[in-house]
Parts: sequence; structure tokens; C-alpha cells
Amino acid sequence: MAQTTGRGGDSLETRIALAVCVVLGSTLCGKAAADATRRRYRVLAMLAEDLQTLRIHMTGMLQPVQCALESAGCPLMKRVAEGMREGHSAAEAWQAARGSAMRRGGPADALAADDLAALDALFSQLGQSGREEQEALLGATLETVGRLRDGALKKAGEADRLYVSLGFLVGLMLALIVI
Amino acid sequence: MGALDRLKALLPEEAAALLARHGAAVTQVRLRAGRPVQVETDRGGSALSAASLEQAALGGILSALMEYSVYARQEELDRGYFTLDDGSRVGVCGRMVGEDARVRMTGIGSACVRVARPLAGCADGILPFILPPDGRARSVLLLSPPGMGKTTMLRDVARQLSDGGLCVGIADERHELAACHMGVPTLDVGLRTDVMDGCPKALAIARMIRGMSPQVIVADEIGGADDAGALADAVRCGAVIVASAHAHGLAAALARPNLRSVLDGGIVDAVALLGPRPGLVQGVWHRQQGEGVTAWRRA
Repeated sequence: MAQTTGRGGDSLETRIALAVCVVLGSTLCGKAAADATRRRYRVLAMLAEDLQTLRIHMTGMLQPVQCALESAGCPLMKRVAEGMREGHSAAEAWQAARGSAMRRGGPADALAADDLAALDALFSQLGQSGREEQEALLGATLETVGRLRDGALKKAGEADRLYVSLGFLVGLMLALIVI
Repeated sequence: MGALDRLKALLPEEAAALLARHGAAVTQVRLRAGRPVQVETDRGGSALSAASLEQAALGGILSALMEYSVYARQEELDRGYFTLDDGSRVGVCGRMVGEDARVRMTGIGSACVRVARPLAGCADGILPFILPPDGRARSVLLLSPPGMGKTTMLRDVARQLSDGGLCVGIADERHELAACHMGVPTLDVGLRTDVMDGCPKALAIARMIRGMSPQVIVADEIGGADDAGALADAVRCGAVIVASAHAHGLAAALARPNLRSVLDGGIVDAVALLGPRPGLVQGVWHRQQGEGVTAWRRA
């Protein structure tokens, strides 16, 4: 009899522990999903920083496009620079790198269609005109990327709250079923 | 990669083959929108490609030569040329807009690629006038019409004087003498040579005199309003000048006011005229200083 009670007590404690684990695990899954949406913001934030560097190296120091792209830390720009080293223009190098950069695990896989459209517009004209025109092009791209980055941050904040809450609630439901 | 190799890779197949046929003899390549490609050689002849060069192709070639970085060449383009990594100069012609000093190149219709070719020893004929047996170095001005090898000879003078033990300063406004990349010469200009690259000659000379104390100053294509003053100052500081200028003779040089002030101002000790073939020294004149009058005696 005492053995049966002991088994029943053990079983309840195990169930409670399991329920806590389920709630925690589910909440963490929600957090992970939210982090994935934050990745777009991080890529755009890095891009905006590198566009500033690119502008200084191109229109301030008058370095050729390839050198200026290489001096930026962003992997996306480094890929375009690699293409230019083979004798292509920035537009050609971007078109060649675009596909592989967008693949899963590539430097642009988190970017949305609007982000890629901004990059298409930038690289199609990069280096092809005088200093003032390039200054204007880089300024306009910076503005667009900055706007997209702010939008991505807002979306990431909303997704953060949504996915974490959703994860917690799902975990709670599962915990109740387990108990 | 040299200018010729780059052009071979960029030109249409038939024009590239024409370029390859003439090989190292090519001195200039002229590209004109809607016209055949013209190849000039050091033998004095020129050949035309069978097919014309389309305007889009000309734009593509020039864009590639500018490393797809037009903005970085804008100032040079506005002056009518840009210089390649190997020191070759690309002259451009086309539509200019603006007024006086603020003109701007907005469309290129033709270009002339002047191929830079370092020729070690090409200055042997002129060196005895710069470093005569008495051991005192003399300032010399090289004169010639375009295409007679002034720049190539100046580069070799700098190399030989520098390797011979003198500290040489090159005022390389157009990047042709030393073909610097990020401030470092890519052509052999000697072991003891410093290069001020991309800076107006008068400024470069003044800065080098102040900062680098060169024994010899080398400057290409002098004749600007400020050049004579900077050169005179360098001579007063004890430097020897080796410079070049466009003129088909001493009389023609004296007819150019800015060059006249160099010649009459006691800045150079001798004048050498190059031509009629590239690198050939046609004649040398030594300065004879009279009472307030400068006369030139042919050697």
C-alpha cells in the first residue's frame, strides 16, 4: 500500500517537473522564432553601417568601387567585390552574387523583397557616374535602408512579443494536459 | 595587368587581334565611337581595324579601364584624361559642359590610350648632360612635341640618378612617371626616389623641398603658371631640376611665357630637344649667362 502511494507521489512530482519543462521549452521555442525575425533587422543594420563606410571610401577618399566594397565588413559587399576582382562591373557582380547570397545560410537570406530592390537599385548604378551623383545615390540608399531597418526593428519587436507569448501559452496548455 | 593586355581583353575580337599582331611596338590606341580602332606603332605607322567600334562598346571599355569607378576619375576626366595603373594615359574627347575652369565631361566620343613602356637605359644619351665629368649635376629641360618619349626618358633619368646614389623627388601630377598605387610607385623609379603623386606640380615641389630634401627634382610637362616659381625656389634650395615640356624647339619654348620664365630665370642649365623619333636626342643647348641676358649655345 505504502509502495503504491509512493509510486503515485513520484508520478505527480514527475508530471509537475515535466509540465515546467514543457512550458519552458515552448517559451524558448517562441523566443527562437522571434530571434529569426530579428535577423533581418540585424542584416539591415549592418548594411546601413557599411553603406556609411562605403560612402566615405568612395566619395571622400575616392577609392575605386572594388576597394571601397572590400573595406566594408558586410559579407554581401565582399561578395560583390570578389566578382569585381574578376573584371565585372558592380551591377554584373551583384547579379552574379544575388542568387547564392539569398540561399539559406547566405548573407542575404533574411532580406525581404523590398530590401533586395533597394540593393538592386544601388548596385545597378554604383560607380557609373560622377562624385555628386554617387553621393546622391548612396545617400538615397542609406535613407531607404534606414527606413527598412526601422521597419524591421518594429516588426521584430511585435514578433518577439507575439511568439514568446504564444510559446508560453502553448506550453501552458500542454502542461495542463500532462498534469 | 598592363594597358595593352587590358585592351586586348576588352576590345572586340578583330581589333584585339590587330593589337596582338603589333605586340610591344604599339605606342597608342585610338578608340572612336562609330569608327574603326586605330593602332599606332613606334615604327611610325598606323593600322585600322575592319569593324567600327560601337558607342556602347566604347563606353564599356572606358568604364572597365576606369575600374567601374567614374566618380574617382571625374577630376581627371574634366581635364581631358585619366591615367591607368601602369602609367598609361587615356586622353578623352567629347561633350564638355560648364564655363572656364568649371567645365565637366559629360559624354565621351573618343579616347586615345598612350601606352606607357618603361625602357631601361633610354636616358643614356641625356645623362652625360645632367651628370657631366666635372661631377656637378646640372638642371636640364627636355623639350619635344607629344609622343617623343619625354615621360619614358624622365622615368629612366630618375631611376638611373637614384640608383646612382642621389635622392630624387618626383612631382607626378598625372600619375604617369611612377604609376603609384595608394602612394607606392608600381614602376621602377629607383632606390632613392620619393614620389608626390596626384598633386599639382608647384605644390608637390614645394612640399618635397620642405619635407624630403631631394637632391634632384623630376617633373613632367611643366608650363603652368606656378611651375616656374616652384622650380626657381627648388634651385635656390640647392636641388637640381630635370623636367620636360611640350615644344618643338627652343624658339617655340621661348615663345611660351611660362616656359620663357623657366628658361630666362636661370632655372635650367641645359635644354635638350627630343625627336624626330621617340627617345632620340636631336640637340642640346647650354645656357650662357651674360649681363642680364640669357643666351643659349648649341653643344
